[in-house]
Amino acid sequence: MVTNVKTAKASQSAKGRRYLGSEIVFNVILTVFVILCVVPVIHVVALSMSERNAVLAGQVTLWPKGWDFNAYRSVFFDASMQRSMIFSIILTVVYTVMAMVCSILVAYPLSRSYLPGKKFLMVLILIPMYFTGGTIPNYLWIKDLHLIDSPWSLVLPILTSTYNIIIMRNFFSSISGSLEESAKLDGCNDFQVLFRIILPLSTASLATVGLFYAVSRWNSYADVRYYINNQNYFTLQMKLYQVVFNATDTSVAMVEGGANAVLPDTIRSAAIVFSTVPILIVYPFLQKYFVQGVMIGAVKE
Amino acid sequence: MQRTAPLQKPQNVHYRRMSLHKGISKYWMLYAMLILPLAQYIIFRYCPLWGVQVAFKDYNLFKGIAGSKWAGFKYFEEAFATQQFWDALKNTVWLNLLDLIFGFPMPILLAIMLYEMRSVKLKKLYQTLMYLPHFLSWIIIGGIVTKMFATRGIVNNVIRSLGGSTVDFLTNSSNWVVMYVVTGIWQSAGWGTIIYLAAISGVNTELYDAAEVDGCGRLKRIWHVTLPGIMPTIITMLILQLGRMVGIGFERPYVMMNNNVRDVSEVISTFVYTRGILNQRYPLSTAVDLFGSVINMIFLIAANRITRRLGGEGGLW
Repeated sequence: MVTNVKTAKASQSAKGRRYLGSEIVFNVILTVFVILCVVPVIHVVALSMSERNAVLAGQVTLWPKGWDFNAYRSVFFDASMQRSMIFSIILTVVYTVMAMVCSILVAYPLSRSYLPGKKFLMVLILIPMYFTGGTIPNYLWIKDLHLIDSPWSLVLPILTSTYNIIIMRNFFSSISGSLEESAKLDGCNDFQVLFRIILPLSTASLATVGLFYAVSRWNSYADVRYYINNQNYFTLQMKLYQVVFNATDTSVAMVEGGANAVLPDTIRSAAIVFSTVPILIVYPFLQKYFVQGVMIGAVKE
Repeated sequence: MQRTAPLQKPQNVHYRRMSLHKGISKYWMLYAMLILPLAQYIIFRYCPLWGVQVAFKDYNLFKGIAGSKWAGFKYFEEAFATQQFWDALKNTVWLNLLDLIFGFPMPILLAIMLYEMRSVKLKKLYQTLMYLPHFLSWIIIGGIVTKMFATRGIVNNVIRSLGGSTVDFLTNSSNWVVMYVVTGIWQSAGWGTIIYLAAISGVNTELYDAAEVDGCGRLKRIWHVTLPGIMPTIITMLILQLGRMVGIGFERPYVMMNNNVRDVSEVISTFVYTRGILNQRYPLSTAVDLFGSVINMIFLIAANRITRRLGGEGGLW
């Protein structure tokens, strides 16, 4: 056994020497790509915390110069920014919970291979992946339902994602059927099987799908643009768009006037960082789950 | 899958024969679970399909969809007669084509290189950092890009300090197209590796050993074992991407465009937004949208058929 390990190690190091050239090339390319992935984010963070003159002179690269948190103060204490942040958080939580309930309730029955009519139901949920009404028919329908300018227009139309449902369904079907059978012998009904056995065993897939739903709601902008005109229901992304792209929108930048006013550019950077922070906070915790989740979902039918 | 299932699980045959009535009484709880989600599907995914007929009608706000008069192909003809429509169509296809040529191979190459990495810890770290851009919204990405590549942004500062002259990355049409494609790669190439990494780890390891014994070097092994092994996945992803050739999501071009580059950045989704929702020209924009979807469908079906004709695995159906 010991010798086996030794020879394995020896052959590995031999291989290592043999492949050294390509190893170096691969690592260099990957390292460059990874650096390019994070550098823009770091730059914006640095910009948002830097002093006015350093920003104006273009001296800020990857580390803040002169530390100045006034931009954050302006962003944080701006009433409309606060309102958007709070609304976005509530919206994301409500949406994620409702979407998860909906997805579980459709993924579980479809994961039972014995359910009569399963194939028909599968087709029923797959068709909308390829045939959608399109922007205007959706818009007119939301209008007919009197959901324009209602926060529900940002929740109800996207409660189900076929892609996420399939990830969940594949996970549920991978759980051994014998657990379900023995629970049923003990007198559990389908709801009890789902809540007491299947769901506790599926935390990885639930966390993944939950993250996907939450991130997509948090980041979506188009539907807010289409359906919402009322400022009270502007999500953080919508507010961010106004701050970052509309030169005319000075609602945040005007918080402090005079010669010491915070630069619009710094404000914009601070707003960008401000709205990214919630994602950066949850990201490391959920990262180990979603890779697994995507891989399960990638298994072809 | 469906055809082979009974062979693997004989008990399925029994259930398959059971009548629907009996099925409902035995599994009513499972069907009860489906009520809420299916209602959502019907109300918010099937009902809007009814509105597609607006493309063929003189839509009148007060008469509603059903009450409006039929107009035949009038709005399609109107769209085809305007230069803006052809520009939007051309830009959509052109940007998608560039995405396909430069963006599509990136995650495959990155996944192969990641798989070949020896240090597990470094690999994990690289993956974590690579996936990050996928979790940023297009508004944030657009904000970062417009900030960094502005005339007074960091990139131009560096170029100037190295003695170069200012480059108008975002206001010159051809530079903008490059920026659009690069930003797309930045956002999605890392995330795209996941599916290929899954495919690579599914390749039979005996084949690697055999290649080793036959004296294949690393590059040869990648070429002769890894690539053929993940070909079905590559083809599936390719077909899916071809099925989107005439569609671009609204957010990416919308946050990156500016008035100087409208000639290359106006795509179908932004066209539909400005004409449809802002100017309330519902039939015209629905017609344009529908036209794009139909071409997408043709692309999808054609790509799938070609794959099957060539005997390749990885077709969608």
